[in-house]
Amino acid sequence: MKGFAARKVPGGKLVKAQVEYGYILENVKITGDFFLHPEESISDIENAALSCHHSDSENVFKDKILEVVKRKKIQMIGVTADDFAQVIKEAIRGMENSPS
Amino acid sequence: MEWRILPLEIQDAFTAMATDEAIMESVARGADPTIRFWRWQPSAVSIGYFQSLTEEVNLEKCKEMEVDVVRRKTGGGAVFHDFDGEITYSVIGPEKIFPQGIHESYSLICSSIVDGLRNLGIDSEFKPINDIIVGGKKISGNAQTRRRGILWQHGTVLYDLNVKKMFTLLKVGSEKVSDKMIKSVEDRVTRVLDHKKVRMEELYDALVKGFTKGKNFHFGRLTEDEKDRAKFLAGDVYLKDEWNFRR
Repeated sequence: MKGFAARKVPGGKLVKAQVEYGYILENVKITGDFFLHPEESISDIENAALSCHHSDSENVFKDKILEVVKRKKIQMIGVTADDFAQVIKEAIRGMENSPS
Repeated sequence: MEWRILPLEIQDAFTAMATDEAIMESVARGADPTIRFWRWQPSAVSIGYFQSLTEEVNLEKCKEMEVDVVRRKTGGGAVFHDFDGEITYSVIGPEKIFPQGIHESYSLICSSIVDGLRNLGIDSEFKPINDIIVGGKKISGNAQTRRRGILWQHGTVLYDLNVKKMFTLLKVGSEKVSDKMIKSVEDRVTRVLDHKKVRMEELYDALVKGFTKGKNFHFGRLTEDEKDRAKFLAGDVYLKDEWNFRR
């Protein structure tokens, strides 16, 4: 199953998430017009989200993302771990609510 | 410390991105911090590092209208770079010569553009995160990254804007470009020509003055090594689907 969500975050940046899951989360792709330094660390954030179960709460996603942000000293500009967690969960919820 | 200023060039999208990166590498090896200016020919769309090319850009229209498409190494949004519509700059220097804070460094570099526009009699201001506005409307967008101890910021100053063409090339969630959509952009974006009837050359001169104000500088050129490296990076990275379609 695939799900997609997009949201404008406070400050005006757009964050989108595309998720895929079967029994577990299989793929999380985050796109948008925000800034992250270093840019390559987007895959660390996506992997942090992938380590969650799709039924985990938004807070679990946020904490996992924050953990990697701190560990890898990732700077987020125009976007927060909260924004990433929210849009990923919206993508999962959208998928759960969509007609099968 | 003395800045190297590279005068206005005309470059294709892939060479432009590769030239910036080649300069970043040479500054990392100790070359002078560099400020450069260019115009995009052919006109091009650039997308931010984190954007999806297929979601943001109408590739069919770009091909039809002979507009290049390239992914930047910096974040931010999709931009239509019209050859007749803007001047683009890059500032590349060691991180240590800039404020450590992202917002402070954007503000400092963008103050050069504000100074440049003031030279034309246009009052503008920096609007965090990465914009410069005139009368509440955006006139300049900027994007920064930091790699290998080097700060690399590039941005555009809008001289003119063909909103309809921009909407045709960028995906805007609707098949038909409506008058309402065009008006909505015109309510949010402005251009030098809305404020001063100057030639592109006058804008360029004003920006050079803004960017060099208070700095030790010399006008220089790319080294042969930088040119070679840019040529390699253009072909090996920026022209490749593997890079441009990676998200």
